[in-house]
Order: sequence, then structure tokens, then C-alpha cells
Amino acid sequence: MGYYDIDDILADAAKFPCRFNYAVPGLGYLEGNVGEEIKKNAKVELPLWLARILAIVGGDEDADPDAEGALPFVELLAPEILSSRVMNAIKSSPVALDVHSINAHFYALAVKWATLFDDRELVRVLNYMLLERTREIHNHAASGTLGGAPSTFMLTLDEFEKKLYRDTHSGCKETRRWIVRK
Amino acid sequence: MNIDIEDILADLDRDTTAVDQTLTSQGQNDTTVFGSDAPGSDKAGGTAVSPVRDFEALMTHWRNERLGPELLPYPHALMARMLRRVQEQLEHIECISMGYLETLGEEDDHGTSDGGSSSNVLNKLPLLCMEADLERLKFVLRSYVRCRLAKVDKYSLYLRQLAQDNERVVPLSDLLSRQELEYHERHSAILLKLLNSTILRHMPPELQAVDDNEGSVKMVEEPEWDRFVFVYVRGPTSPRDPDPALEVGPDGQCFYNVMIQELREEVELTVGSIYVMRYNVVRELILEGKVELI
Repeated sequence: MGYYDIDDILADAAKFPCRFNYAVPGLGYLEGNVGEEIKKNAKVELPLWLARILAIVGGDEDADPDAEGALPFVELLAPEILSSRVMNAIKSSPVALDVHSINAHFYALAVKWATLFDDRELVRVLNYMLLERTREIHNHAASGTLGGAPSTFMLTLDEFEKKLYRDTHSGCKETRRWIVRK
Repeated sequence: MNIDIEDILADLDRDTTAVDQTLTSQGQNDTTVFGSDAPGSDKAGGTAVSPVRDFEALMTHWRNERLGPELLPYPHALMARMLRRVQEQLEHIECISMGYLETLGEEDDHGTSDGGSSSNVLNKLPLLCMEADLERLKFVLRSYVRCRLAKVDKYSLYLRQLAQDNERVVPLSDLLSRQELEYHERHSAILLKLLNSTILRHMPPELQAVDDNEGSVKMVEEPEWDRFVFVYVRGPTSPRDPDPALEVGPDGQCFYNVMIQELREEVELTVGSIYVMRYNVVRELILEGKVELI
């Protein structure tokens, strides 16, 4: 996850639902009405790179004397991709889950979310999911001939898993080629 | 009535091997054409330094560099010896091939045709081996240097940060060779110029730094210290002297004890076995040459 990592940049652009804890003048363009103030408790979808900072940095007390000083600008609401529905689907059958339709950068986002909130349960579920799916990916990569129609499983991979698949597949293919005809 | 005389036998063995060593070293002179040796290097070849061992060391350095996440210290003495040998071997081959042409010419003058062709075959094989071997050595050297340059590219900002840090144990000149240092300086200057002239000068002044670590994402990319690597536990470099870090288990096997910090777990690395391990756990052992990456 370096600074120049293109996948990381793309993953950071995913929108997360947030609720503003303050009324901030001039920020109305986040909601779509330019030039006006953003209201307290307004729900906005913010890209993660913005939401992550705003959820940590505290607002100033002058803007809202009632609020505590430590309260950050926005509160991150639980996103759709990590809802209990998805978690239950993962727990029941990681291999059958269509990760790509949930989000193309599912793992990257889930890892960021888990780091932000220190969510041990989420990490546990992700570990289980990755292990199960990796086995399936390896099966496909080791046996797979790319010529045929792509199986339904291949269409459910997220970006990280695609990279994993590509690397494994090329490794297996090159080894086989080297063994067969030097 | 078993008398253990193994140490006496070992004593005898050492005497005979001492004689053998001179024999084999003479033999090596004959077979230098097959090794990565050059004729001049025999003077430098003491007991510890030999062309064969140097080549093995180079292979280890090469593998470690290719597989490890960080830029390892540059083996200055080893590379200097290797490059000198390449040069000498190159000249050696040239000399031989010139002499070969001369003898061939003489034979053509007053030798029979079949005698000439048989010596032709005889002479060609060592030359062929020498050339192929030189190519092999040069490939490894090139691949090694290329791999290091790729890492210098990747971590150029990090290396610059290291250079500014005065409290470091290893200075940058130990980490990089002279040519690599120059490459690093000039390449980062060129890159900086490109970034500055295309984008950065349109930025507000406080956003113009390329090595800003205060922002939401760190711009200086450090090596992935906790990457998983395959390691082979080689054990101490010479079997004679005891290694203080080496411990002997209850079943007589030697192992190193390493600590995985984040799990608070101790792992025994048994000598002669293969593990998948986080790099920062085995880093010290790799630098000491007790463990190598595969």
C-alpha cells in the first residue's frame, strides 16, 4: 500500500456513508448544493480518503458549543459492503460469494476499515474468507486452461484476488512449459 | 572393549589432508579453465579466499538480493575480486585463442591433416568451457547489479532519508557501491526535476515536498519489513568455531531461537530445514549468513 500504488488509490476513492457532527458553512458542495452550509446530521457519501481524515480530526468547539471537543467532524456509518448481511454470507460460504459485485476492492477496503476501528471480529472473518478462497483460487490457477469459458468463480474475484490468480497461474504455466520442453 | 579413537584418527586425517590440500591446489591450477578462476588470482587465493568459494558467496548474495524486500549491503571486497577475475579471465581467453591460432597455423604448415584436426578438437573444448563459464558468471553479476538498481529506484526516497539520518549504524557508502551511489544521486535528481516541472510547481508551497510523511499517506516507501520469505537454515559458516546463538535441542538437533514480536512466540529454526518466515524475524541471521533466502 505505497503512495504510488494505483490499486490503493482506486480503493481509496470508494464512497462511504458519513454523518456530519457539525454544521459547516460553505461545504454544501459535498451534498450537491454549492455555496450553502452543510447541516448537522446530514448524511453524505464521502470517498474514503476524505472520510478517513474527517473521522479522526476533531472539529472546533466554537462552531457547536454543545458538542464535545473530541468529537470528529464526521461519523463513519457502517457501510453496505461490511454489513451483517455480507458478513453472514461470508461465514456461510466464502467460495460462493460474489466479492466483485460487492466491491472491486473489497479486501483493501475491509483492511482499511479494520485498521481504522480495530475490528477484531472483522479480521477473523476476513482471515477465514481469504484462506478458503485462496484454496479455490489455487485450484483454478493450477489446473486452469485459460482457453475455455471462464467459470463463474473467476467472475467473482476482487482486484487483489485477480492479481493473486494471475501470479499463481503464470507461475504454474511457466513451470509446466519448462518441464515439457526445456 | 570399545576404545574411541576418533580424535586420533581425525588428527591423522588432518595431517594427510594438509598434504592433500597442496595436491588439490596444484590440481586446481590445471583445472582453472573449468572454474571461474583466472591465472593471476592464485596469488590472492589464500586459505579463506578461493574463486570457487567466492562464486558460492556471490550466488548467495544474488539469491538474497533477489528475494529479500530490502536493499542489502554491497559486498565491496567480493565484487572487486569478482570483477578483477572477469577481466583477467577475459584476457586469458584472448591469449589462449591467439596462441591457439598460432599453433594451428604451424600445424597447417608442416603437419598431417588428421593430426591437425585431432588437436583442433582437443584444443577447442577447454576454450569453449572457459567462454561458457565466463558468460555464466557475467550473467549472475549483471542480474545482481540490475536487481540492486531496481531496488535503488524503488527506495530512492527512503535511501535519501537514511543518508540524512546521522544516527545510523551503516553509512550509505557501505550499503551502495560507488556507481550505485552516483546512479541514486543523479536518477533522483532527474526524477525530481521531472516532477517539479510538470506538476509540483502548480501546487501550493506546503504540498510541494515529495518526501512528506506527515500527510494522510506516507510518501516515503519503506521496504516491506514483514514480508514473508522462504528461508533455508544453513547453520554457522564454519563448523569448527561454536556459535553462541546456536542452541542444541533435547533430540540433539541444532537450532536458532528467534522471537516473533507481534505474536510473542518463539520459533526454533532447526539447521538444515526450510521455513516460511517474516523477513524482520530472520533479518539478523540473514545478514550474518547463517540463514539464506531461497
